[in-house]
Amino acid sequence: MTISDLFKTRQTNYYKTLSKYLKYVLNDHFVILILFLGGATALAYQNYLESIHISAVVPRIILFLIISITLFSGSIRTLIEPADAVFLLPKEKKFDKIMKKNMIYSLLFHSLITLLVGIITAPILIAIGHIKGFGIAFWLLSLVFWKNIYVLNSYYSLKQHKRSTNKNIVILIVALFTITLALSLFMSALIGFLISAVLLVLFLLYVLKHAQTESWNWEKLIETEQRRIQKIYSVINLFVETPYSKHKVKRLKNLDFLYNIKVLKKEPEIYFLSRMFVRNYNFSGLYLRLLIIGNIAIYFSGSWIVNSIVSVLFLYLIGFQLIPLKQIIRDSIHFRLYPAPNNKIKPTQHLILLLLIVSSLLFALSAVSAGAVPVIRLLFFNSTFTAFFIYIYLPARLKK
Amino acid sequence: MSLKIENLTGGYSQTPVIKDISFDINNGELVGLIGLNGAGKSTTIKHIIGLMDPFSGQMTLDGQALKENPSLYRKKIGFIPETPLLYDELTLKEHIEITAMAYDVDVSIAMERATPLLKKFRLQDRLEWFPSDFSKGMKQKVMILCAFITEPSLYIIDEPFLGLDPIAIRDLIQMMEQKKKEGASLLMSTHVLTNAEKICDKFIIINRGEIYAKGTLKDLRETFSMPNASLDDIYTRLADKEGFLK
Repeated sequence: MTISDLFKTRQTNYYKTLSKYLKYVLNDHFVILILFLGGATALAYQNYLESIHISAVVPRIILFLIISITLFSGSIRTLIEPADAVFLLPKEKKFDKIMKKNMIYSLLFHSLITLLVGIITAPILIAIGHIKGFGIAFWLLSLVFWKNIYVLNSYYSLKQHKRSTNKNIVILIVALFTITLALSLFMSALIGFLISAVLLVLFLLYVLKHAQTESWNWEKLIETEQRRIQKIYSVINLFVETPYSKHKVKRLKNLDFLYNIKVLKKEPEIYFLSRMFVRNYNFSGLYLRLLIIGNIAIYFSGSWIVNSIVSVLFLYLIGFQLIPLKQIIRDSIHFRLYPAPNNKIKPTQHLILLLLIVSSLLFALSAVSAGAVPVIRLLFFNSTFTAFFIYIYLPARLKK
Repeated sequence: MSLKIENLTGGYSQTPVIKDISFDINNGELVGLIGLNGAGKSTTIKHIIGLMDPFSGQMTLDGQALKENPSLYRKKIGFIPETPLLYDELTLKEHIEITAMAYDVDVSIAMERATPLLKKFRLQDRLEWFPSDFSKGMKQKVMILCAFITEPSLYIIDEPFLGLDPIAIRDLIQMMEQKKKEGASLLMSTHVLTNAEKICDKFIIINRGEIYAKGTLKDLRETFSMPNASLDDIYTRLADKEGFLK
């Protein structure tokens, strides 16, 4: 088997695994939520565009932030595995070819994403009367050029053995980028375009000259790829248990009082589940995020119909995403050995009930600015849904 | 009579891994389960603790079958697995508490029983630690501790000496001997034959899922017709017979 065969198989497996997990991520509920939130955001964006004044400054600052985040995120997909540092080391030259392919792939992929963000945000610049006609093309191209500089640097940094050199290059890139983007946004998109084109050519020449000779920094290659994979799985883990969840457990001693709540009956399952939920960020992080997003959405939305839908939808999402708690009890060898009959439904039900009650209260309180009636109305909807979810939907679902 | 196994046959799928196994462990007896890798030791243990259902055969603990009263049967067993299995999200102290809760031991009594063991294993200052902070040996010590605080009538210990430091091995042996004196039965599977020879009252040698020989060291010497042989010699003979030492 040649090295390129090895990486071909690896690539196939990588996409196979990702698509397998994506099926879980893009479950029906989540797709509905995305459509719903996407529609709401599009509407808000349209309203915002209509309200922008010609020559306004704030939209430019917002744009500056969005573009900076887009351009300085993402990394090169290399599919390197830790064992490669041992087994592939003698074949480093052949590995160069693979890495070139990876670079080209990443350049194309990231350029497309950048272009997409550029197209979506371009109406802001048009609305403030900054660009029109060819100006849009110049603006989009300069974004793509910058993204290419960023990706080229990510590639080159994997050959860089000196941390300080790498840091200096990054500082230089960020500084030049800030100046150029400011020029593009506040003076002329054409000037920004010309500067980015020149910088891209210069950087390309620099990288080509140096990257030919130097050897790979394997430690960095492995670390970067592991971090990239970890990031992907930390998102997937919000939806489904994967073997790649490696969140470090935190003690969080200040929260110990939570476990003394009377409702959490003293039995091993609930003793374990309550602590695991709090200390394992996979679960508590998911809960907190949904709670915060839900609260913000309810707080800012004026319509009681939207509020009720968002509130119940988020309660459902929270409850639904916590169902895997049962699996943890089921898969644990301890609970199969413990003398007491293995009860995995009741404890899970108890814990989810408690979490949904807290969410229901908080969601209802978020509507407090609209007055007492909306709060009570929301409380009614939330408790009705929670009761339905816990006592009708969940038992049926957990028995499966 | 503590543990009684009669004609036990079982395995993972249709094909049995262990075949027609019978043996007893009396109160106050320490029995060594010996065999090459893949002989069926762990499978035998999994059947005894109820992680696997046998195809056929009888198993009783103090006259009680697992099926009759699972809760009572399980309470009588303290199991220390080969690889430490701990909860990532619970501290050492919480492991003691959850064990107490699961085995209906009062938490304060469990802590009382745990204190001397924690001290012996030098873990008394680490009650707030998570398993991820422990070395393999320390994790093994936590498993031992959790099994001992339930004071079961049968201890099942799979490869107890791996990863433990020499002091801990000595301490564990002392603890096992103490439990034996108190009348508990112990079943230990191990490859560390010198230790086994020193402390076990009887041995069960398993080969290819069947009992090859059982009894005291004296009985084994007779079976293999090797007077004055050590357990190590007998084991080597077994390997030789299997064609591993050509």
